[in-house]
Amino acid sequence: MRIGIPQELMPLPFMAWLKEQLSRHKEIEWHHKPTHKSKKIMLSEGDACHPFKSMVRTSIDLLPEIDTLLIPRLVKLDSHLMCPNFRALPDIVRLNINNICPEFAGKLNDITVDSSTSDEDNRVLIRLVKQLFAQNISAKNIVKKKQIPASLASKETTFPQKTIALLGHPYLLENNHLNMGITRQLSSLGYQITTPKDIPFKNLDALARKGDYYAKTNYWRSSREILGAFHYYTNIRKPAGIIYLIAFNCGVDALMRIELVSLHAKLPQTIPFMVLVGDEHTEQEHTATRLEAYLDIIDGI
Amino acid sequence: MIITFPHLGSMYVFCKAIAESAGIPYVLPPATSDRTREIGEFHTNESVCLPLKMILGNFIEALEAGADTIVMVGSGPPCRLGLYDRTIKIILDDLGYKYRWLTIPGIFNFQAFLQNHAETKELKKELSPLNIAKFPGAIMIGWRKMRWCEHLERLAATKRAVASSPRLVDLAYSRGMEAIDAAKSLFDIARAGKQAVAELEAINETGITPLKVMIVGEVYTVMEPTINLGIERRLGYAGVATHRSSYFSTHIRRGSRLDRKILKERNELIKLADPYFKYDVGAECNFSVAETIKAARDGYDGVVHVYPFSCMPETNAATVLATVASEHKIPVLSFALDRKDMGLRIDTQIEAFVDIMKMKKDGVTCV
Ligand code: SF4
Ligand code: SF4
Repeated sequence: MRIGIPQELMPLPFMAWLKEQLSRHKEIEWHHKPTHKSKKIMLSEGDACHPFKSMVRTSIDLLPEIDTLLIPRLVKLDSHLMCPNFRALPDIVRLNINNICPEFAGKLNDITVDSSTSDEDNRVLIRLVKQLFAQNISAKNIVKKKQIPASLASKETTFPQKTIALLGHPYLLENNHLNMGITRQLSSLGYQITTPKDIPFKNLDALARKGDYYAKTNYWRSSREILGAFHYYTNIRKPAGIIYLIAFNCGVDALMRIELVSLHAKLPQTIPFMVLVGDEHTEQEHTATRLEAYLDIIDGI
Repeated sequence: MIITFPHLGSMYVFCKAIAESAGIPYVLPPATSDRTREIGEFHTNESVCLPLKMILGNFIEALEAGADTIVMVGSGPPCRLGLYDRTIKIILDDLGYKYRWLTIPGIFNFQAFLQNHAETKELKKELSPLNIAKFPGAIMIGWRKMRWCEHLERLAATKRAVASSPRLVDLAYSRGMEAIDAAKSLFDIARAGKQAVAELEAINETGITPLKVMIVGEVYTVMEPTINLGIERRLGYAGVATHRSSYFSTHIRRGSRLDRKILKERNELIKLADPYFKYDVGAECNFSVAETIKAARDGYDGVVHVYPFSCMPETNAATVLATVASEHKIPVLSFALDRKDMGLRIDTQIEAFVDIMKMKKDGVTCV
């Protein structure tokens, strides 16, 4: 069986877990990157953020080479909401399929994930196995999501000298196309990178709680991850600098950026912090110039 | 305690009337203007939604004018509206403003109750028993004023399209709004409202059957002319009667969850959008789609979809509406609004849109 999941979704820990679990029940040929890009014109994408447009385009381009396109409707993960775009993603993909390649209608699986606990994650998996392979599995056979080593327990308060912390949505941090090659550039300049992925989400969530009051919890999972990581990198274990990668027009980051800039201004000690906004028109040269200036500051400190 | 609130739509009439009638000192922010928007833009960033920028601008202008207590209607997830107050507070704190904050819960749940309790603990001490005793009556007055203002808005939105001189509609409408705003009792409000309605109805008409358009989209953008750049008025001047379901009173009734009829209507609309959205995307997204389908069924000539640039739910609605328009054979014009300098572009697009609607109505097809 050939299953496609757009590469942009794969950096989400839930998706990696889902893939691993499905592979335990059936031999699957996984496809994440399309082998060729179709020239078909998508429905008006309006002014959606680049990652979202990219998810839709990759999904459509994957269709000819797969049997099933798996795009879960990610409403809530780890008991926190996802951005509204993830609720709409399967529908926008479906609409594009109907409009430009109706021969593939029926390949889309858009199981809803509204999950607060690992039991709920398991229930999604059980349903999915049934839908895809007509197989019944029991919760006992499911391997729990891997826990990342608790780096928070580390006694270290600093990273190796040339370490930069990158903040941002997982798909921005791990996808060179979406992050304008920033990770590659940093590595080639001799810098190590640390990201929130190195810290258990539970810990980040707890750190993010500092800013919550009553109904005003920052309810998006990615915001909590980014905010928690900012607290971690500025209070617990300090890198040489922090870069916050943002996709132009990201509604979630537009607010988080204000919060982080405010927190940064109140820090008792300086840690260079840069917000880098990019979209599909941003070239590597644009980011390189800013990155060089930023690294000059770091090297000068 | 000197309270203030956003100067948006008919909401400010409601808040002002409550403060006035209950004898609570208040500062009405200056009418939302270019300066308001520029203040909001300056202290945020390019991807923050326009309503937040406007509300922030309102608050800064009001704090500069002496207000010390901000009152704002709250909201919840999944989009950004539920975090407006958190973000605005961060900005105001960083700018060094001293103020207190009171959220009027948009959704009545336990957390909202706790927050309200904490926020009002200090404020209550500054209210006299007389202020508190006057409160139920003050809410009644605020509510009636808001309803009359909205009635005038509705009337003006259809009358402009048929009036010999749409400018007279604007004048009668402004006079009516001022009279309702100035009224002190329920009796005076009704008299001012009826007088304004009579004035509007007395304006000469052209006798031409106007085009009929439904306006859908993000709530603040649909309701507030300074955000939507006067879209209703622009359409009215182009001979288009506009309708919309979004009014502040409707949102209060929805939020309170007391009005069963409204909740039933909302559920039906969600079902109507189901072929396109299998899940509630958030805010008005599904309703923008559903109301467009409904407008097509109800014989409207077109739909205008307005939303702030970077609005996640409505950006998805805009994509879907392109398909809805062709499947339901109804012209849809979407505007992603941000900067003020779009006025002329809007007029040009409206002209073309009106031509399309007229051609469709006359059965003219392009070859
Ligand atoms: S979180 Fe931001 S970048 Fe991600 S899909 Fe939503 S708007 Fe786009
Ligand atoms: S509906 Fe759109 S404009 Fe309104 S708060 Fe949400 S994202 Fe912002």
